[in-house]
Amino acid sequence: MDWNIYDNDFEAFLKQKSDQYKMYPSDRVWNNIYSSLHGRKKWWALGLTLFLIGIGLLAGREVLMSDYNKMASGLTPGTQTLPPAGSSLTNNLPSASTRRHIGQLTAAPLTLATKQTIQTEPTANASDKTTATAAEIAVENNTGGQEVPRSGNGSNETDLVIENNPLSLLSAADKNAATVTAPSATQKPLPLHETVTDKTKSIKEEAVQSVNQVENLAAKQPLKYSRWSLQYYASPTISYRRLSNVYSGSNNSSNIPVASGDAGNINRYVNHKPATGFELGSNVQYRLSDNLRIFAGAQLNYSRYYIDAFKYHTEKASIALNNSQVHDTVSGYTDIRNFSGYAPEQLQNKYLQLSLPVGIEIKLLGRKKLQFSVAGGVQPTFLLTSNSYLISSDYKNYIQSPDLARSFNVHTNFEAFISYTTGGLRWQIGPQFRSQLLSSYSYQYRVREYLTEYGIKFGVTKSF
Amino acid sequence: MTEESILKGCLRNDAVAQKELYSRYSPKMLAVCYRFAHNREDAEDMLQEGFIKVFSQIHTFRNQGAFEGWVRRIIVHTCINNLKKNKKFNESVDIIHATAMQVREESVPSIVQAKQVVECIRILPIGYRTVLNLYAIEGYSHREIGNMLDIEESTSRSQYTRAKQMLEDILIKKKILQQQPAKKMNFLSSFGG
Repeated sequence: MDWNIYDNDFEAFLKQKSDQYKMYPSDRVWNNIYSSLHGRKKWWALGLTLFLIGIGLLAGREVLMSDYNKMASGLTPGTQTLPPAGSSLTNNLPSASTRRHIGQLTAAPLTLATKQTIQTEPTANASDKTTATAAEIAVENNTGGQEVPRSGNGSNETDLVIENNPLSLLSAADKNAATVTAPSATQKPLPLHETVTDKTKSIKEEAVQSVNQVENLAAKQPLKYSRWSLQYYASPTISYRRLSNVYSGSNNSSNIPVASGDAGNINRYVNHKPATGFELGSNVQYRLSDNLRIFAGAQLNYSRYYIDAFKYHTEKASIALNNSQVHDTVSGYTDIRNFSGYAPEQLQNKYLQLSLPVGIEIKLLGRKKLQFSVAGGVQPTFLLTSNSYLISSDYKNYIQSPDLARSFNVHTNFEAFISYTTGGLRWQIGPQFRSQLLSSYSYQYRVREYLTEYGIKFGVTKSF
Repeated sequence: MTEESILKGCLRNDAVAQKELYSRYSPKMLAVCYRFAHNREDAEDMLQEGFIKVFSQIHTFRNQGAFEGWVRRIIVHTCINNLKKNKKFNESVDIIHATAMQVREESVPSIVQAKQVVECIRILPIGYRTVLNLYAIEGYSHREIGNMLDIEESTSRSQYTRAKQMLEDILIKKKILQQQPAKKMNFLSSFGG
């Protein structure tokens, strides 16, 4: 028969005193609870958000630059995107003047035009003073009062202005008359003084406006071969790990189990197998020279490996910790054994990391389309999440202890690849190697784990 | 914050409400864990695991009793699950030997009586202590205790009887019960000497 404890003074006394007793937990408890409930989700969200924002910004910039390329490509000589303001005077002074300005940016087409002028000019009106006077007026107005270099033989740039003017094809007398009394058919007749003054004024304004527009657009036009490019890449990887154990000479072994193998090579006591993972990322590259590029970006790495272990009855496992002042031990219960058990069990140690690779790429062979290059760099790495089993200090059990995982690490990587450029895109493929510089776990844990990943990297790069 | 608003916040996974709930109940619950655990560190680990269960299962609370009682049951079950992993609750301990072995003056701080009592409970062997905690303080029946600890109901009864006798000896040696002579006499007389 069960007793009713409240009918008994002894039980009531115990309950009363026990309920009066309160203990205040350390901050560690709430921090761990909070991390368990919120922390990792936020890391995930933060990492993923930053990554997506970065990719979005880069993609947006690429699209914008692509639009500028299209706009600017329509302004190259010989096309039809000059402002319509000068359309009624297409072959008159402002147009020629505008083209002369374009010629300063893209000289080649105008060189040919200049030669044509030199050839045609003497035959048309080399000795005509009236034509020279008209041209002189036009040029003076077009240059905004600035002196234009001239030579006396009519083969200078002033004559170039006149070259395409219909007037230049007329005889000297006709030109003189036409200049004074006969504007082109598309223009409204004006009095002589207005024709000269107002027309040149409007021509000047149009010319200045046109030149400004062209200069603005030309300034926005990127170089034909941009130094900036954006790369996306992915790589299946396979992860290996290297273990080493650290023996603390100052340790009085009070926390290490008797069977501790600290002095031995831990790799002899564990059975780990590599497993596949992946790498996914993007970076921005800057071409320093034809053979040298630098890059920076962001990437996700999923790494894992298998551990051969055994299922066994739940038992206590301890991990001795390194500490400069005190010797501490983490203990827990586990049903996983490293050695003999009643059933085989395969565990997985998994890591998801966000890295920020920075590095350099060197072209070794090849010219335009097909190239062979190598690249390497360093990668500050943040651990987003992990699921890992740690081996106990006596190498007898595997136990989980997320608190010992290192959240920040540094990796190096090296790759060699062949690239092929086609359609504005550079495709590449090649082997890569990624190595972890710091142990996966805190330095308190006496076993050091260094992951190494091998993969085949596929990438595509677009200049912008 | 009222308890209702805390519960609603916890249901929304609101960290502020969770912290408030934790601050409100963690001192009592850590004391519960401490009575079951081997040391304070283990007690904090149990508390941590228990509160994670509380927050993750809070949607199952049906307002059919006191919320503190619901939290306490989760904490107690967490403690028991931790202890069950490698402890046997049906082994008997020789009372005389256990008393002589465990009772040491320096192991019982004399700060307040409540703490003295708790520390005396913690002196008991693990099997006795667990049954005594569950029966006398947490209010579980021997049948429930048998189910929780995977032992016979009769084993729970006998463990409790021995635990009670051992604790009584300890409390008398420590002169804790002498501070309340009336009660002491009452329960000693109820034992029949």
